[in-house]
Amino acid sequence: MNSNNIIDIGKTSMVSIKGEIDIYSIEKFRETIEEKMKTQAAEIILDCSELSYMDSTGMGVLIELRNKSKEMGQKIIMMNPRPNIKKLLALTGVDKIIDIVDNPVN
Amino acid sequence: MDSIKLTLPAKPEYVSLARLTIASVANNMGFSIGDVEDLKVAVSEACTNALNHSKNLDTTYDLTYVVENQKLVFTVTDRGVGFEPESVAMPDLNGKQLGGFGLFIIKSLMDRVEIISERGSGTSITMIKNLSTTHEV
Repeated sequence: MNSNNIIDIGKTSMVSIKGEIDIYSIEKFRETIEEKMKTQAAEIILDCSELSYMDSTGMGVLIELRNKSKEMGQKIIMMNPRPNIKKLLALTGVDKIIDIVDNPVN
Repeated sequence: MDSIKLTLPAKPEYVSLARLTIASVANNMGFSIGDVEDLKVAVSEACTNALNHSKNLDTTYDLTYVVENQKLVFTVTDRGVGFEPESVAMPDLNGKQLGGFGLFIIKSLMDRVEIISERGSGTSITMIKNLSTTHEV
């Protein structure tokens, strides 16, 4: 998993998540989001346009960090997840607790 | 009926190899793009399960694909600590219980799943995905 193009706009912090999230790359994914949470941005947007794969290890970290961010008054938003990832988010119910947005610009 | 067998080191960096191989086998069989994605997730979840239950990083686990008529049968077998499949609780979105998603996802995406596990000896997860006729050209 690669992450770059980190953009901070006021109270919104955006990070591009690329590649695959599985048991191998999960710690990098966790560190990337935790780093953004430290900026105290109100909204942390994960641009998933170039994220090709995610499995339950990613879902677990998303739930954990969503709950942590909620306690800190922050919100994690997934932007443009691909259909295969959207399917898993719906199947596990993660789409009910994490905001998912489609950005038509991309 | 063709059979392919792989033995992978119980290390996280090789789970992607399982996804690559199942995608190749499934594409050759004519599975739809969506079904190939489901198969990649299922095999990856089973491999992750094998890694989480392995006794140490020096062990290996086996992956077998059997190409049958109109279906793909694949099995992930580890020699880990084993577990009781019936005791795996449903995951909790409030974060109190984050385990269990893997098996839940496998059962949701595959047509048939069989889990044989013995404490101290290991686990074997066999998954079957039928080749959908709706996508045939």
